[in-house]
Amino acid sequence: MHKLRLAGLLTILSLLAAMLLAACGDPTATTAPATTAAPAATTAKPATTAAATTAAATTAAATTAAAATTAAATTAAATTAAATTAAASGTGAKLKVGLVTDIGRIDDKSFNQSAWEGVQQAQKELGVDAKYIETKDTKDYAKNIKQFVDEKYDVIITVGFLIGDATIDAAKANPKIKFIGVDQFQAAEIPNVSGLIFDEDKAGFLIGALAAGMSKSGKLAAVVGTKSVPPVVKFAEGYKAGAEYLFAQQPKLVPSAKKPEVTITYHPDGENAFNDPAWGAQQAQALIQSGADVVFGGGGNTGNGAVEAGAEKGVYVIGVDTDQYLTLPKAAPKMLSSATKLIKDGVFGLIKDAQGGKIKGGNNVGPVGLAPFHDTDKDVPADLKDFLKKVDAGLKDGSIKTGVKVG
Amino acid sequence: MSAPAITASNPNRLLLQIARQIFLPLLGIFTALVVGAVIIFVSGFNPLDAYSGLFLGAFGNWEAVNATLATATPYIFTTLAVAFAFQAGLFNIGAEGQLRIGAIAAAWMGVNVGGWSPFLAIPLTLVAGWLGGALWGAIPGALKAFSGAHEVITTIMLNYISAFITSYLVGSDGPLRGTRFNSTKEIGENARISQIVTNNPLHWGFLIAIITAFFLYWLLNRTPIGFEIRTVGANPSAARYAGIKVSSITIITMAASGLLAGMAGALEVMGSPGLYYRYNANLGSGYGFDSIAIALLGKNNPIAAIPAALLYAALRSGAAKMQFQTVDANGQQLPGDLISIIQALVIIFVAADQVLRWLYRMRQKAEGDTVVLSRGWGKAE
Repeated sequence: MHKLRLAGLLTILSLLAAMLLAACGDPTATTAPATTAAPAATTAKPATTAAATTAAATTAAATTAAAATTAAATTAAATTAAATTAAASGTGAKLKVGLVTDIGRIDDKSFNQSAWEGVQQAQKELGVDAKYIETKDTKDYAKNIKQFVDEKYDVIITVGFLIGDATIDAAKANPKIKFIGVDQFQAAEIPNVSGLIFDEDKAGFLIGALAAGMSKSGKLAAVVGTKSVPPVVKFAEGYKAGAEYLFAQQPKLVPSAKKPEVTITYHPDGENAFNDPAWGAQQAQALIQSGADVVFGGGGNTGNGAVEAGAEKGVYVIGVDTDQYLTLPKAAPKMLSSATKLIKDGVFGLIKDAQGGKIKGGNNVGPVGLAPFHDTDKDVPADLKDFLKKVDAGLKDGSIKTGVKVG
Repeated sequence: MSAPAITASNPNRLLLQIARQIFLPLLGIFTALVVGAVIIFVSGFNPLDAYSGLFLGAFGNWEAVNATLATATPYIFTTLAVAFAFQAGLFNIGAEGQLRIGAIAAAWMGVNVGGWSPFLAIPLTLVAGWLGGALWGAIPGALKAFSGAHEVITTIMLNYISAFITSYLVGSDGPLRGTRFNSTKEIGENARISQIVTNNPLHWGFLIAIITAFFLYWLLNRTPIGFEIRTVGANPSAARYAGIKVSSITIITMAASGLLAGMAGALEVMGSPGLYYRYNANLGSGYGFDSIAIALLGKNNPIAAIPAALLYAALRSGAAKMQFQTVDANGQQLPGDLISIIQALVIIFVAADQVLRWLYRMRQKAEGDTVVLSRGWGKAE
């Protein structure tokens, strides 16, 4: 019995040693096809079980160790070789772009995913090298950024305002690396940090015009988070301005044929302004009771509560930030659109600037827009769609102003 | 039950005992890695890339080792908290809430006394963390002792209560809010614990964690109170018959357990540069549940909590590099879910030693290897 245990122990120790060696690798070893690495690894497993059952542990273990080492060495060699050729040939070194997510997965149907899609577009169209790291704990922001710094990445993208402090620290310590902070407002300009922020009022303006064009009663509701967060106010005021703009420009597109009546309800600034779906639902129901037939919900779960309650009552609803048709299935059938921050386009644009050496520090304003109509596409009149396209273009080139001024 | 006390009189026996304690966990890790390799391979990735990434990310250079030890520090404390309560037969699922209350209490104290002399500021901040955690642990202890309410339920509920209290305190109208979203102000310079190596995250709290683990081992095995705690854990009826005040022991144990978790939170706020010396609403989330698994890995032995927490920290710390360097033929990176699967496999195989014995056709359970997890539910005591 003891012999058996000893054999097992020896095998494990030698395998651990093999893994250690594998980890270090010897880049100067002669090249061999990298594909051998995987088969070698698989053969190692049967060898181990054999070792555990026979007394001839040492020899078997030694062979396994040797096999694993060579396999690792060849992979390492192959990778270095590939890297060198890539760097040497072609039109110069590829731009290396790393993305660190906010807490959550890369496919979160929200900011992380949108930002990564922008990077993927750059991969395809600009030929950059790109990788991401998912963050699991707020404590790890700095560590995950450092991973890319250590690997000498040229551009590091960090997603979300919570990671802003770690981004600024890393940028100050590594002035040669360009940092892109998604949704990170820059209070002071740092030359190598580009904060990607958005004109929420323009997104609000578009959905306001859409809502006014779809409302039969002429009464529009907005149920939003706290007044003390400027982007929330910009969304809501933009919504109102857009509705009024449609009536002023194209009164025949407004079904009620009167000036839209927009009611904005801000959360009373409690501790859970963004996490109060019950309050949101209640406000939406009250507003629908008094005649509103389009509900815009903006502000985390509070807005989501309003949107879901509105859809349940059978009125049109509008989401915020990302295409919420995808994230709020309960509200999806009545979801007209969402006032979206086009993070994907914004990130792509900044990577392009970085590649061309034109990227600027400080705040960079990214594009906003309407999410697709999805299920309600057939309900939206073609004239209204055309008008919205014109407004979108006008907002982009500056010929149309929302007139919203916030702090 | 804890491992039998180590007797210095018989060094050969001691070595054999240590080898026996280490052998099965190592075999478990190895088996988990093999099973994990199959999963990684089937998913289209090269297991060698993944594991070398995991290893290099956790131990590849001094900075990585430093980061791994820093990650382990709070886990050692929360694991000790869970393991210590287990010794008295109590299942503390509330380490997360105790950590949170300890952390915010320390942050509050650190903000207020941070300008004083460090000789006063550091102990005061630490003690605030202790008291916060101990209070949050004593509540379920008292509920159990006086009303028989099961600590599993009360600690889980207190986790929620602590989450809402703290998010109110640092929320947009909260009295403790700072300039950053859902965070307190930064604690003063003099209330901070310095790093062991400059510009690296490991702080002196790690040393405190090690000392605490050995202290608890001594307390449990060499003192009357430790004996009483273990007796209550082994058989509360017998303990009562022997004249031990079971209700006092229950409250004391839960308070001590909470204190340990509170210390994890306090030291994170005081020493962890990645948190910018403030409490934030995400701090410590998941630590309570992770540490239950880690405590089981270490068979509830305080000293074994150190390597067990280190193992878990290594799995977490190496994850970024693992994801970074594992790419399949289509350029897809190793998904975060696969990393979590590998982490879970390690825990399962190390904790389920009976499976291992069966798998490797080993002798059945030797005497003294059993782990008492918790006594029955709702048993009248």
